[in-house]
Amino acid sequence: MAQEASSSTSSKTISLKTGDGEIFEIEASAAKQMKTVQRLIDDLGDDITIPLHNVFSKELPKIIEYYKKDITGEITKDFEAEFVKDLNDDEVKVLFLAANYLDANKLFEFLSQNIADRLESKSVEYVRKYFGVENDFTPEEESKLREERAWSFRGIKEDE
Amino acid sequence: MQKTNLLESGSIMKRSKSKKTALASQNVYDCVATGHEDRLGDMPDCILHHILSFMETRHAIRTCGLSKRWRYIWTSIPCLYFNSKSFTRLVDFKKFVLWVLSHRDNSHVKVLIYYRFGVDYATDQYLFNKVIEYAALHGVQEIRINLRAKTSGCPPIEIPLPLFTCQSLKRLELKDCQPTNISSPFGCKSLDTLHLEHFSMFPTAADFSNPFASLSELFGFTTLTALHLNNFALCYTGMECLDPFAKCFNLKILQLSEMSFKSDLSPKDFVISAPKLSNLSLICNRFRCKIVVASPKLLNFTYLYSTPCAFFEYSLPSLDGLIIDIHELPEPLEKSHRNKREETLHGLINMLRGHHKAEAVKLSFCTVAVTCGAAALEKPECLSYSKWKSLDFGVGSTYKIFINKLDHITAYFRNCSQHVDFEIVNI
Repeated sequence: MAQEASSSTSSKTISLKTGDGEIFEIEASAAKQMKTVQRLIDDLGDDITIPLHNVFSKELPKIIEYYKKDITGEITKDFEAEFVKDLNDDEVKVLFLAANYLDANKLFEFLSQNIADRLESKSVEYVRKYFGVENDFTPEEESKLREERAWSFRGIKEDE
Repeated sequence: MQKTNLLESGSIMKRSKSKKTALASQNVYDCVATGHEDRLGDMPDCILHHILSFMETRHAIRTCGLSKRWRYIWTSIPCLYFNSKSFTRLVDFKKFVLWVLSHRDNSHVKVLIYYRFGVDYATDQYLFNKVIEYAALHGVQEIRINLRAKTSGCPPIEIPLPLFTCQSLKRLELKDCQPTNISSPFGCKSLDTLHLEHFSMFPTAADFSNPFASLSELFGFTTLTALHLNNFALCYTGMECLDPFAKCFNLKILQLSEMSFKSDLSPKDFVISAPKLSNLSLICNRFRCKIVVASPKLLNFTYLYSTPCAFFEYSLPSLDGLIIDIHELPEPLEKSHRNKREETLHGLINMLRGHHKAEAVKLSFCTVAVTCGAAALEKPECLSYSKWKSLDFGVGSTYKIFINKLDHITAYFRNCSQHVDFEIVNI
């Protein structure tokens, strides 16, 4: 089948294959929003199943759901709130990494804000675990840092 | 070759295109990480910055205690977000802000958010100057300010000169303040989007023959592509017709909400005629005067109002498509108001008559009652050269809908189109 002109992609669907071998369909116009996918389409053609080695069947449907709403212009604050409502912090992290890999700008921005909101009030310990950071301060360094910070950040509400 | 790599290795690495050395000026989208990370912490700094830049600065700073690598990451976050509500005392807020400004590295600041909610009439001019100066020196592109005072609302403030001379500033949002500057010799040369809310000009600065003149002198209206004005009370004592946006040569988006004219100081006609305007929203304004929408390139018009006193006239020569979304707040259908509603919709029909070049028109009404000026419909003036192909006619409301003469309305439009397959879609 000959390549269709890009102007008539409105009803065309693209097949995406996740890292764990499942295949999902998305509209070509939604694929355009994910720059990585679009680049693969440009290189490989839109008739091939596009392989996404680092995105898995757990998160891809959610991403597709988001962009389905996006192409109809229906993304509202309410939709976004619902979208993340039942996700725990780790699930959001997985989506965020996938959005980054797919170069899906809008979702990436939204999830950055959501992660920031979630981490704002969490303890340093929690944030360390979340970012997978090893605490390499010695106890002395850590207590010195805490002293410094205490002085500079006096009067802040809800200090940890 | 590129192709085989993509298929086999399954990871995509994109090199940063940025030639600048400052980390913070790298576009985060140039730092797409390899696919092998499953821990956020291994991501490059610019992606971490991106997340941290959505937090208030006081939270982002706490990351200095995560590990050695994280000790100074906060110093180059390209966003400063200061909110005095997070501090028990304003004096602590001040100390914190000054501390951050002096401990930050020299990288760019892309966004400055400064919310200082005061308890008294005055705001801290010194601190405000310091913050604006710092941001302007560091190439700020977006500034959002809110200086709401608890007891009196908008404290008087002098907008520091660095804001006006800042060449990098593209978006400015100012809420709840009363600038004492009369005009700036510069205007903001690169300003693209201006959002002013609950913002009043000091009486001495006001030019009553054009209430918008002082705004345009301060900020320079000609570079703007988007303007949002919210919650102003204007005074107008000049000639009958007010056309404040005529010189906004680049303006594409205009939103006026909760605006009103003080008592009798209102023009007879309020003309909105920016030459490139494509999106106009009029929301909950209290204009007791005729609104003339005369923007030739208008594509989208949203109207949500609360006083049934405004009525419209349109003069829109040619469009390809038009979306009009008219919502009326629900209120009891008093007789005195009914006439005014007819006038609103009558004005709408007049506009559409002049709009024969449009091919698709989408009207949606979310109102308690939709009535069409019966007189207008009884003798429909059919334009034989109308190109209308379809009319999406959406009527919806959570309140009781009373549609008067819907058949007349649809028949009217059908008559006006020369197309056999003219479609009316009820949404």
